[in-house]
Amino acid sequence: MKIYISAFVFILWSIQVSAQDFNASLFGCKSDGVTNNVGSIQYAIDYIAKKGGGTLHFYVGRYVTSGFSLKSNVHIELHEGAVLVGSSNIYDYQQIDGRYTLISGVGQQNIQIKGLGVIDGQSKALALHVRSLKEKGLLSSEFAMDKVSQLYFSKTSNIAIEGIMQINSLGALNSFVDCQSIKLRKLEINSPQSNAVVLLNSSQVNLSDLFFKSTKQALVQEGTNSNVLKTNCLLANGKSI
Amino acid sequence: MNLLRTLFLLFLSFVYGAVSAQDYKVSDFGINGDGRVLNTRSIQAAIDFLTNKGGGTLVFTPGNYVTGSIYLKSNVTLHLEEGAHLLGSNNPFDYVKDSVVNWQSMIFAIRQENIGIVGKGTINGRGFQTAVNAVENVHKGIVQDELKLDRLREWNRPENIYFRECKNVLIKDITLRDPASWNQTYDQCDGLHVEGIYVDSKSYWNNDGIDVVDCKNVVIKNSFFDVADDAICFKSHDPNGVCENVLVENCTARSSASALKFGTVSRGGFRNFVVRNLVVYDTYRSAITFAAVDGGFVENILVDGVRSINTGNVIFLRIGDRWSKGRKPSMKNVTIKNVYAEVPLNKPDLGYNYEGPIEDMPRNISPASIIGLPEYKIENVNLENIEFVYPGGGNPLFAHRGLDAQSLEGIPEMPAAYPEFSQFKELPAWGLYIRHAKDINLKNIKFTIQKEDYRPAIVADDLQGGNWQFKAFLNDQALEKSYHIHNSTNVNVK
Repeated sequence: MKIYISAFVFILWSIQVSAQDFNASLFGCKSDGVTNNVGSIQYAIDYIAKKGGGTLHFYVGRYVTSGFSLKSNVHIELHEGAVLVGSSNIYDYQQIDGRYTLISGVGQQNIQIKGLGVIDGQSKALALHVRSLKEKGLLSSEFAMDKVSQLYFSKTSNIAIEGIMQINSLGALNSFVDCQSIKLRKLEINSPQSNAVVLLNSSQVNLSDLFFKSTKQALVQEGTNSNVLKTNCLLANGKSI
Repeated sequence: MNLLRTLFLLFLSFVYGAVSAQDYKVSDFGINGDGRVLNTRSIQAAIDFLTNKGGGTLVFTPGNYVTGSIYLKSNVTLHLEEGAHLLGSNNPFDYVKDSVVNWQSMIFAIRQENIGIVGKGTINGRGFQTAVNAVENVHKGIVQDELKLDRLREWNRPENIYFRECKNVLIKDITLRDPASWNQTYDQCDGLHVEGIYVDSKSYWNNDGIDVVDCKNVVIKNSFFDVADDAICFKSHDPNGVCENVLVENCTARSSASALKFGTVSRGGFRNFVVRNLVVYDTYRSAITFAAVDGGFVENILVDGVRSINTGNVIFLRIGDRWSKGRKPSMKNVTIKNVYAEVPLNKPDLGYNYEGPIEDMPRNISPASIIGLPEYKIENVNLENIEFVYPGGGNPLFAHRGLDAQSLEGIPEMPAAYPEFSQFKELPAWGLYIRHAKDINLKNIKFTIQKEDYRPAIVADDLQGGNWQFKAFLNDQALEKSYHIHNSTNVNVK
């Protein structure tokens, strides 16, 4: 009996722990649209992950960042008016599996990015930088604009991207490689220079209430994907994908 | 055959090096000098690009380049043009604590060779604000640190430069300012050449000027240091390590600790040093401190030409027994000559940022001192052509140390204490105090006080051997027999 009570208490405690909330400002994030917050954001994610999980909240303002990595059980909430702004310098993106990534998760579980905020990839400025590097021969010739991903997940399960607006990426907005249980819901996508959702060998993909204002291809499927469910996913011309 | 192969490889590397050593401007890589963009990753990408090409120079044109931790790599030189400022980010989370050295820094190099930082530009850690931000992070509970003395430990605050196990390092002409910890550490490097640098760093606690740890073949010349903590500091962290074959030439140092220092960490040793033309001013502690307190040795040291003005203590040679772990500390064959030194009555670093702490009071002005331990004597020290000018005025009502056997032997040995010229509080001489030593020779030494002092110029206790030729004056008036020798043998006074 005792053991059940203590197990119950432990479960309650762990639920409580996993639901901890942290504001970005606690870690020194600045919403001035200038300061690059990557050190603070990555430290916050690592810190929250060590604590067993929780949510990192961004409130109104522009938060510039370089590429960072998500960890299991760490959720990001972009409140209304909050914009995560990707750096316009390609070297600021994390290179993972040959891609240049802004937000990534590799081998993680239970990842969420939600809210009413925006992720802005600054595609025009980023493309300019890439072009100038290529002209000077400073970037390997293998590099192509389509190697950029705003969100990149590999071998990760239980991913939810909800509510936000995703704009101005190069390459791919959302890349999933060998992932399971993916939920994309209520996203507004406005990224003319990128594909919106790219699936490779992933399963249990639930796309609902997505609006593709502008994009190259809304959904790209490579390899073998299974259980890809689409509900109310509309292009700007009213067609369903 | 082997020789041929070596020659061929040498030839190859020469040709390759000549071809590939190319200059690139930071702007080529999109590194931004607007003082706001964080350039950590793009600077790193540029360095990686250059080292992969076989080497080259990354030129920072005038501008303000903000960065966190970067790693310099083989055959790459950072050239900071005049007006180029490499600025440390104020966000403590932009810095890496390197896993090899277990320390934070802006510029790291670990096991690299042929690297350099040159040019008339500046590296400014902007460390005060970074350190303050780091303290806040501890108070907020998101960073762990014991906050000893209300500051993060030295290794949890970024230095400007930390190079470890590197070969052929060139640091030339640059200005270094205001890190949150020490300025620059060179640890277990072979072939370190530092020339013409300007270090101005009084921004936060532990701002050392330069720390050279267990390095071989070192030149530090024509450089200027104005710093809060030790200015030119040699350390030995490794019991099997040693600082050796070192030339320090034409340097000027101002410190709120010591100007030229061996230690405090002194596990391995220090040998074959030549120090020439050292100018020290407004320095709170010692112009010269050699400490062997952790089982290490100090030997074959020549200091030739020192001008020490408004500096609290001239010479402090000390054997202690702090972290020796059974190894026997030693100090021998030290020559210090051609020195002119003025010791002030007042605090020499008054008004500088991060002044040295007033401690070990009450004491009258402390003498130069050579202090071993009963079982570990300091051996064969030659002082030659030295003029010491002291304020005098030692008042026995304020602090008193008599010359009787009980008073002299009552001076504590303090083997495990942090070595500092002031640690024994009041000492019984105003000019020079010697204890537990062998063969201490004085040649053409002049001691002057400007006001009467209740103590004699020199006191020796447990000294075995020495030829002394010195004169002591109260202003112009000769002081006859101004010395006291206790429990000693074979000391000849002329």
